[in-house]
Amino acid sequence: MTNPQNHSKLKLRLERIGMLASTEYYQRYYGSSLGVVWAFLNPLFRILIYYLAFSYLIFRNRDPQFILYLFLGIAIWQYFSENTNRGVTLLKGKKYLIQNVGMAKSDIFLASALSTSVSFILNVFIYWLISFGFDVEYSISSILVLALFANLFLIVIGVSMILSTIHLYFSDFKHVWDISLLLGFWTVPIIWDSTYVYTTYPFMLYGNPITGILINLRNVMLYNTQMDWTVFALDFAYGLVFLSIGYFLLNRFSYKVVERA
Amino acid sequence: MTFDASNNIVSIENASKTFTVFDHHVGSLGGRIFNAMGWGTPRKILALADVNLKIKRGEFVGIIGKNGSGKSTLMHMISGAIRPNKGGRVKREGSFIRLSLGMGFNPELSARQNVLLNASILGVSLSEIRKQFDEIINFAELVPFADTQLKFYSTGMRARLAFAVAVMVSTDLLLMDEFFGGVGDEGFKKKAHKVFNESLLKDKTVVLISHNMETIKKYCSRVFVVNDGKVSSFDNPEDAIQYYRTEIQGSSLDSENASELLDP
Repeated sequence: MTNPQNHSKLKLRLERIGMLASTEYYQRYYGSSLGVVWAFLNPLFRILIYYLAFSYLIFRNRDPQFILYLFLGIAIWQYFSENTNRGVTLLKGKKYLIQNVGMAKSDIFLASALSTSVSFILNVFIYWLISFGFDVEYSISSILVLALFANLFLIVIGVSMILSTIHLYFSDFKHVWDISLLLGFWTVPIIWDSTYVYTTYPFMLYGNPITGILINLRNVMLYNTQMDWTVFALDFAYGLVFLSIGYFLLNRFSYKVVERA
Repeated sequence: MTFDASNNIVSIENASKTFTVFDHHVGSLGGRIFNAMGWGTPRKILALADVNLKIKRGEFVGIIGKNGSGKSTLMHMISGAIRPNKGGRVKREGSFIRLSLGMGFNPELSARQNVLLNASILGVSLSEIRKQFDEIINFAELVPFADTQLKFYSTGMRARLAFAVAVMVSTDLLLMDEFFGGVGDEGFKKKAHKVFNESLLKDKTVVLISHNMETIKKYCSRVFVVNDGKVSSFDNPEDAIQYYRTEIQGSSLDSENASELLDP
C-alpha cells in the first residue's frame, strides 16, 4: 500500500498539476498525425497569412519588422483565446474527475493554463531566434518579459474560472464567448498600429489588459524600450481582480457541475 | 453535534437537498429567459430530507433503497460533490474515490495514463504509483492492454481497472455504487469478493450502495435505508433488510428483487 504521508503536500500538489498539464498537452497534440508540430505550425501559418494579406494586399509598403509586430500580437492573442475558449467548458469537461475522485477545481485551471504555456513559450523562443535576422536589439530589461507572462497567466486563469462557472448556468455561453473573442481580436492592436491606442482610443489601453500587455511586450521584445509601468501596474491589478473573482465564483458555485446534467 | 475528526470520517447534520426541475430546458440563455418571464413551470423535488448521520473510520456501511429514493444523492453528499440546502452541514475528511463504471477515467487516455492521473489526484506520489503500476495492472488482468486507450476497453475491463486502482491506492474513503454488478466475468467477481474477505480493505472506510441484500448482509456493519429522501440508520444489517422488505418494498417482486435474483 502507498503512503501519501511520506511526501510533502506541496510536492504532491505540484506533481498532480504537472500530471494534469502533461495529460492535457498529450491529448491536444498526440492524437493527430503531425502531433506537437501543430503547436508551431498553427501560429506560424496565421502570422504568414496576416503578413501577406496586410503587407502586400492591403497596406503594401510595410516596415519589414511588421512580421515581428504581428508575431507577438498573434502569439499573445492565441494564448489568451485558446486558454479562455478551453476554459469555458473546463469544469463540465472534468466532471468525471470532480465527481469521482474529488479533484481540486483550481488545479484543473492551473494545469490547463500550464499546458498551453508550453506552446506559447516555444513560440516566443522562435520569435527570439527570428528576431536576430531583423536586427532587433535586446537589453537586460528584456527579462521583464517574464513579468508580462506572469500577468497574462493570472488573467487567463481568472477569466477561465469566471467563464467556466457561468457556463454551468448558461450552456450556450460558449457561443457568446466565441463572438466576444472575435470582437476582441479586432479591438486589440494585433494588426493595426498600437500608437492609435495612445492617441485616439486611450480607453482601450486602460480598459483592456491584453492591449496593455501586448504594448509592453513589444516595448521590451521588439523596440528595446522601457515598459509603460503605469499600464503594467494596472494590468497586474486586473489580473489579481480577475483571479479573485474567478476563485470566489469557482468555490461558491462550481458544485453545480455535479448537480446539472 | 460536533465533528470528531479522530473517529468520524463523514458527518452530515440537518442536511436536505432540493432540486429545481423545469419543464422547459433551462441550461441555455433562451431557457433562462423563458423561465424568467414566468413561462416555465419550476418544480421542487426533495431528494433528501433532514439527514443526520456519521460514518466512523474503518466502517463498512451499506445504503439500500428503491430506485429514485435518493441513494445516489446521499452518496454524492457524502463525497461532498453535492452541497446540502441552506442550514445543512456536511464534513468529510481526507481523500475519496467513487467506484462506478465511468469512474474518473478519460477514455482517450491509456490505462497507464489513467492510473497515473487518478493516483496522483488521490495524493499518491508518481514515483510510488509507478512502482505499483505492475501490481495494479496484474490485479486487473489487463497486462497486454496497459497502453491501450480506454475507449477500446469493454465495460468489464474498465470496471476491473477501476476496482484495482481503488483497492491498491490508499484512499480514506471508498464509495461504491452497485459495483459488484459490473465487475465482469465470474473469475474476476470471485477475486473481487476475495478482496473483501481478506485484508486488502482493512482500515478502509467503505460506503456501498447495493440492491444485493446478500452482499449488504455479508460485508456491512451498518446500513442506511433511504426511502423518499428520508434516511434511517440500522446497526444490524438484517434489521435493515427486514425493514426495507416489509415497510418499503412490501411483498411484491419489483425490479430490485429481480436484480437480486440475477446477481446472487
